[in-house]
Amino acid sequence: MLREKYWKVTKYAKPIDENIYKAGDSAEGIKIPLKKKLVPDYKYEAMFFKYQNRGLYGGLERKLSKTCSESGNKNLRAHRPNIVRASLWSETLGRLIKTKVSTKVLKTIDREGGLDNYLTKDKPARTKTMGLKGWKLKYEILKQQELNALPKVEKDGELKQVYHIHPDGKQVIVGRTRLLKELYSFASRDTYTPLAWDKFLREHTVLTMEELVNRLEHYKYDFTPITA
Amino acid sequence: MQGFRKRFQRDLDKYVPALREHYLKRNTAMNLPTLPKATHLPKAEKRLTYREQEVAKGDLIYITKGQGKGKIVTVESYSKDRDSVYCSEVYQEVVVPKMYWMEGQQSHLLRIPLAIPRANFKLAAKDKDENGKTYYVVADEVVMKGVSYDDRYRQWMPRRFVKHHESVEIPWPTPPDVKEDYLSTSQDAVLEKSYELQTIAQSPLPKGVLSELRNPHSKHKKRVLSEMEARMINGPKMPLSTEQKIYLAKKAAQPEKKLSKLSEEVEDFIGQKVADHLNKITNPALKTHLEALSNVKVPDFEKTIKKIEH
Repeated sequence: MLREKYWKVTKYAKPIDENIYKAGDSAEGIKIPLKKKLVPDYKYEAMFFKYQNRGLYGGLERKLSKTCSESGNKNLRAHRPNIVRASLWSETLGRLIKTKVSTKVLKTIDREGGLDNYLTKDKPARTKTMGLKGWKLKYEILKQQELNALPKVEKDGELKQVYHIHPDGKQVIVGRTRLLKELYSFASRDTYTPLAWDKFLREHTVLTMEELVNRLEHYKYDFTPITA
Repeated sequence: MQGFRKRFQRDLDKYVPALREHYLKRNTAMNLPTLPKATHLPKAEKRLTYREQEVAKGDLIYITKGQGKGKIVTVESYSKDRDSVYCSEVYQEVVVPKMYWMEGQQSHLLRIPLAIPRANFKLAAKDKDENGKTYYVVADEVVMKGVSYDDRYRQWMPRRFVKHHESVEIPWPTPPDVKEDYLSTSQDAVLEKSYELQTIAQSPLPKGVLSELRNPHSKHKKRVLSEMEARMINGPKMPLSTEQKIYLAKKAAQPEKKLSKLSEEVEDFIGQKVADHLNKITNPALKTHLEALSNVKVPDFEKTIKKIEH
């Protein structure tokens, strides 16, 4: 069996539930989160030296060794990784990201040619060492890249970003929040009992863009103001 | 009021034995010199159950030391505070001034029973032999083994045996009858509930009623996930990186690998080669090993064969 190179990361990693649940599955012993998860679960979240969750530490942890005096007395001392504060430019996000970062990771970022390349590199070792903060940034970057892949269209003399292309060819130029608001006006009229916004949100926030458009189509919504 | 101690009262249990003795001596300095000395038995050393006490009221004991040495007497009472027994044969006569006379006292001399400490007696028992002659058994030590329900005591009593002669059981004595007087409650009336404690600590409802009143079809008891709940648990997925997308596209473009059956010629050729090699083997141990190996089922091999057949 191959020896795990990053055993220090994997040995103490917080285990996550990787099952994909469906409607009708047993809820026995399953904790349902109160709020929607904004970022996918990270498989290698550190349980020790948790400070590394707040920066790009590259899997470096605090180590202990003994100092030994001339008379042979041994004392524990700590070796902390060399951490510096840095503002790193993200090409995709188009902004500086202020973070704590180890000098070793700074060197790696240089070698990879930028923060985006460092984070989006698809190797198991990178996934293990990027840490929770890196994982969150990676999600943000990849989502932005997905959006950048969508076209920009001109409407009323202005250039608009397309957020969603529906299977029937509709190019939606508004985001999820606007779609939810449009759907709310129909959904609240569709019930005999008053429907509060937060209650509506609890039921509909997990829907995808495609599903939201489908629901609006069900109410015969006029898409002209929000499509190109 | 045993068991209750006032706030600033001395706790003799916490004293060292010498200090305890000193305190008791000072405390009883003004007592009549003829009265027995005061003693204190720490709480931890007290014998509270029959199993620990080993003697009970009505038992026979053989006195080994002090007044009445060599006598076999009946226990009148057992004192938990002194861990000693009293009997009518061991007593002290004390001269009491007339001002301290008790009701009905006729003489200056008063009989005070003396405590016989545990070290000064041994448990005895009376029995008759085949000829009907009475004899006594004196137990150096007693062991308790098992329990049996004693209707006279109305409880489970340990069984007493003479140590190292464990066929000899010493039964517990019959306890004295409790005489009923005008204050005592009859046996049936004891179980009748005449008072109920009003407290919020205890539920007025009988056990199990609440679960019957509650809604068994409550949505909180439904142990099945809804669509929204399942999505909440699953959370978002990490989008695929460019490299991954390229790899997946390449893989999708590749034609599906199809497994086909070997032709007969090739099968024969391979079979011939294997047979030739196996026929060369002369070592019986290796042959047995190969025989056993041929019976082993390899799941991956079976899967591949299934794929070929389909």
